[in-house]
Amino acid sequence: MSSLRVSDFTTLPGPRYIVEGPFSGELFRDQRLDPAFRVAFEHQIKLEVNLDGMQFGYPASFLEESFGGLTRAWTKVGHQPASISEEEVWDRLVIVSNDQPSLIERVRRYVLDANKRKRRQVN
Amino acid sequence: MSNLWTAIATGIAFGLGWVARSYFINPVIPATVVFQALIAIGVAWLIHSALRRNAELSKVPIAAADTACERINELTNECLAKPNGTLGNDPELVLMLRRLDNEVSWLCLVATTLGCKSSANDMLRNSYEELYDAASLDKVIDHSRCLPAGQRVRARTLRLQWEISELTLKGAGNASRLRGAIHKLTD
Repeated sequence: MSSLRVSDFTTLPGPRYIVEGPFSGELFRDQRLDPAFRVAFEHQIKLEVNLDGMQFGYPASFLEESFGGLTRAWTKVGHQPASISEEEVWDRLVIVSNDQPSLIERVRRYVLDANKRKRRQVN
Repeated sequence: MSNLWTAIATGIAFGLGWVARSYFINPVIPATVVFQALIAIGVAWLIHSALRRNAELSKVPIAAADTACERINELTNECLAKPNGTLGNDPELVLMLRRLDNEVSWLCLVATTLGCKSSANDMLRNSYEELYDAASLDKVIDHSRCLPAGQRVRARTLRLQWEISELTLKGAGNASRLRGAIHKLTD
């Protein structure tokens, strides 16, 4: 299993998009989460993401853009190296959150509902 | 309860006086009868003590639930009081939501351990998640969604508080289960 700690990126998660401010969910996904997920996928192993160590907590926008955005990218038709389902994205992730255990279910919800959110944004 | 206490104390004093008069001063009642009366008083005392002990111990989980509910209401109000335009990733708001999450989790743990229906727990958890998303999913806090979500949090908290009180008062076994769960958490 490969692993990733959000606290190595920041202990003060920012807004959703890069244009909105520093340490955004979009930046975390592009720089850390997606590359790590790609490596885990290629080696057919799981990716452990540790959410502990934040000074205040996570805004929903950061988590949704990180994990929901990852899912939207990987479920898109034609995505390279593969297009997979929301459940497959979730199955490859192992979320660790000892500081706030409820985050695990929250991330799961963002992953499984990622494309429902995309449809709301389009409308 | 204090009236019962007074009544029992009076009864004991009367009984002792009766024993003194009947057995020592003017023994017209057989000793066995007096002895049986004393045994009856003793048994009544033990039953009263056990009931009182259970009543006192039952206050512990109810008080714990009361404290959690009070904090949930306070934190919900603080979130709703945030001005329009507050950023969704505002550190104070995010911390408040995290503290609220902790209190909701604690209340749900107490409720589950005491045997509350899982639907009541799930409903409270769902309304918290609604409030969390309404407050911090977008760039700024969305009060149009926060206000109804906050109302649901408060209503479902009250419902759970009621269930906890009912279950606690139903039997000492429920309170003991919670005690066991707390020991596991703290060991």
